[in-house]
Amino acid sequence: MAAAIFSSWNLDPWLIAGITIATTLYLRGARGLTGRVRGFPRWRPKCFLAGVGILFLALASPIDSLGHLLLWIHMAQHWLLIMVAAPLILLGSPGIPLLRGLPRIVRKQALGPFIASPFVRGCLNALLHPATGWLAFAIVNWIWHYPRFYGTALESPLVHRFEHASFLIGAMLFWWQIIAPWPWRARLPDAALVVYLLAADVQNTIFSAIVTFSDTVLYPNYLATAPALGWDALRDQRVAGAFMWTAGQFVMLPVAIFLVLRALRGVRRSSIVAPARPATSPRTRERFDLLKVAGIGTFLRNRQMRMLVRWSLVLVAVVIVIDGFWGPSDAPSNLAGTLPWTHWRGLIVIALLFGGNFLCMTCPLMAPRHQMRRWIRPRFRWPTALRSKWFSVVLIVLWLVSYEAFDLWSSPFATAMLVVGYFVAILVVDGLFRGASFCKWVCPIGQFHMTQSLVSPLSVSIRDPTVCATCIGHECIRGSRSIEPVAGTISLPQLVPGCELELFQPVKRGNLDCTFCLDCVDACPHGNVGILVAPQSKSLADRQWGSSIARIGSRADIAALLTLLTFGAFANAVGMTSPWLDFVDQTTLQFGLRSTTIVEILFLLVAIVVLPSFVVGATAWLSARYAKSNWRESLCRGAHALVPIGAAMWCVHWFYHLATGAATGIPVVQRAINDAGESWFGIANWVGIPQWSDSCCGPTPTWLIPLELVILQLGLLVSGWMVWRGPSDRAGMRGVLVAIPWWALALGLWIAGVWIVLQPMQMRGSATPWP
Amino acid sequence: MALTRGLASASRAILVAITIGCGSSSQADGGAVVDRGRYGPYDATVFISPVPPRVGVVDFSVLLSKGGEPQLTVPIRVRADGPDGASSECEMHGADSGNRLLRAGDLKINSPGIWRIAVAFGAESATFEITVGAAPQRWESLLPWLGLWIPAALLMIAREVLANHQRQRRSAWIRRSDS
Ligand code: SF4
Ligand code: SF4
Repeated sequence: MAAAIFSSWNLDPWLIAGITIATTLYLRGARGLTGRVRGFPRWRPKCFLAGVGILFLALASPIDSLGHLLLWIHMAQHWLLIMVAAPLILLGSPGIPLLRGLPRIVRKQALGPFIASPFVRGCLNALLHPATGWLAFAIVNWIWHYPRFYGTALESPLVHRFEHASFLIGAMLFWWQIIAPWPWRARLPDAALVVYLLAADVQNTIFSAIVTFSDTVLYPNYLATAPALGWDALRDQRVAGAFMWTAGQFVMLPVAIFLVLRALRGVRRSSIVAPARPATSPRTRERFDLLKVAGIGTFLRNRQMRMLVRWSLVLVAVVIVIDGFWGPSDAPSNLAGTLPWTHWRGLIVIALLFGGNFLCMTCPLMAPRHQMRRWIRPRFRWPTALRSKWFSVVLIVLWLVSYEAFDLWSSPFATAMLVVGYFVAILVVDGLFRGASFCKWVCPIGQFHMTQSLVSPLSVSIRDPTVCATCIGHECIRGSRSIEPVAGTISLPQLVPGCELELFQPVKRGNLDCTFCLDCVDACPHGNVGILVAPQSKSLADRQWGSSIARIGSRADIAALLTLLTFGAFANAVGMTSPWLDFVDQTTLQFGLRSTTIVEILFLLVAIVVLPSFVVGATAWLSARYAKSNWRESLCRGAHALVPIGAAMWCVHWFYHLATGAATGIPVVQRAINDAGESWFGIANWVGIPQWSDSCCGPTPTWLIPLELVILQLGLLVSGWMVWRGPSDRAGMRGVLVAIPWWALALGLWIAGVWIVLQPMQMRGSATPWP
Repeated sequence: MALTRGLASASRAILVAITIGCGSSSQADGGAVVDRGRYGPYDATVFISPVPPRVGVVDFSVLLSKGGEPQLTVPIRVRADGPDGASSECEMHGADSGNRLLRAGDLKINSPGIWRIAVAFGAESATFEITVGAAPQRWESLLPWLGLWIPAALLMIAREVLANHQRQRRSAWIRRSDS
């Protein structure tokens, strides 16, 4: 039995995640304070860690599991929470370290207005009033020990969590007055605190006496469980009451004695409590720069290394093409049918969401192009008539339509042709035209990466504007003609190209049109370009001219591209839901058509061209009416603001494939290696592992749908935020009216996304729809 | 300092591991008592979760004891027979459960109505009935996940209102000090 008890840990992921996040933030924030600031000596972090440790012990250890079976153990758990964990956490003075531990942008932009608001400060003051603390402590104690509520908490894990949270919060408000965590000062003198403490002790004594001396079992849940462990339920209850009584005194009385002694000694609290402001200002942090991170930064800055990655991917592409042409024709068992469509796309969205446009950076097409440019110098400039995104818009429409209508993903041969076509196209276009014409004006995949990286947290940008202000050479765009090799990257003096996408760093705004090629990093002789954290909403709110982009409010072609990709995300995802596929089949039958292709093409054209033109146009018109501004400006800025919700939908869709189909890569690679007559990676065994042979889909893990819903909501929130910063321009009440049509559109897209996520998916290669 | 840095990275690593690795099966960490009694030499208490039970997966936990000693090795099976002739059965074991003194197992209940539950341990068995409600709609069971954006949006609105107010006060103050 002892073994069973000691192994009864309740490792609730939410609890562990909460404790880990709080501890991480605290330690991060305490780093610059410990030992440097009066009022924050070294013992404070130790107290905090001890408090968090006790909290974990109370809520996750066998104490929690046994608390369901024996009342006295449940009371011990509550005692640990309110009498040990809460005061220890407060002794760690968590307020300032937790704030400092937050990312700067969250602290300043998100929390700043709350912290500076007199109203919020007033509320906080009221919350930290001694009367509030005392009442919170007592009320929580009495309410949760009322048998009916107590029983509900035992039966529902959610209510039980809420009960524990309220115990902890109530106790922290209570102990706050006595501990006065730095930098707050105590509001009551020591003598008054003794009364405050003893009054709490009295209510605890009354409650404990009621429990101890009751002749009936107050908590009937234990009638069933206590005897199973050899306890009489009434005896269990008496022990619980006695424990509450003595254990409460055990903590409160020594503290009261300490306070009395301090009051008698006449030690003034102001000399005990540290000054409200840190005596020395803690060190300020620089903006995060990926290129300065040891290891990865060195790797990325190295031009040869970047090229090596591209050549490795060329090798992978060659293998995929060979398998696509000469391997098995069923997509689920072919490299061309799985790696590009399941794995590569899933990795794209993860990289874009958490980093930046690293997919363009490592694009395999760049390697042969680079080699070709050594021998061939292009003679022409990309035609002026085509120097806009309209050409790419047409290509993307063709891409999305053919993907859906001709089921590109289900044909390894078509996939291989596509890859080869891509290599040929870049060599032809960049062999004829100067600069990165293919990336900037043609490549549909590049346009996708560049537009979706508008939501990425990282951006290639300058470190210090004052360096650029005094720069004469502007090598980041012109290229470096210096005979000096660039530090640590190129061993022989040679020409380092400037930005071939015509982005001039000092006036580059956001990630649009940036392929993360890092040529500007190599070219800048002042080492002033990095991959920095940059909230993209800033570039949207910026009404200034941006290099190569001009003003975003004037670029209808970019707006069309963004709108197409936003609506394309939803159209692409709906294509795999069962209701949609049923609808296509029925419509095809109804019109007596032999294949579903026509219906799919028509649907796609409506969903990504007709509908967005109408809906976004009408929204922009409505919004512009309120703004009394230009319809075109409203449209262009609104289209930017919708990118996050579209990016969220792409992420949800492609991550679904990755999460349900990642393992399929193993047997497919095994099969390809086996076909080459080798078996060092194992033998492909399709028998008995249906999800592997289904190419893309095992059953949906339980965590996936909630995660997808969270991602969609993040997209909605960021889009809503960008509408506020963009088209509405935060212009008071009028700004709200201007924003409402765009908010409504974003909400509509979100609802569509939720609907798609909740539908059963009919996955390729699988006979039955997955729930 | 190195210690705090080390602890910070360790806790970050734990967080990542948890977010990736967390999964759950039978919990045995709560629920309502649906049956208790003495069956032969055994005292048995049966809990179910969720409360009230609904179509879908229902978690059954049993606390089995003999003379105040929990019985952790007696084989326990639970069987549910539905109103439409459907049935579902499973072996209960402690390995899945949070509380290892309890024995837990999940049963798939696929129709609403009155289900007859039989819990067999050793030569004894406890039988009782539970009323199962209709399955929640898919969106209903995901409701907590669907509404997260509302409080977040309210906080964002509050932040904007406060920031706007502070901006106005600042510019009024600058105007006053200029004049
Ligand atoms: S990024 Fe470098 S090369 Fe470009 S303007 Fe600034 S200092 Fe000059
Ligand atoms: S050279 Fe141009 S495209 Fe390449 S990273 Fe720099 S700004 Fe971006």
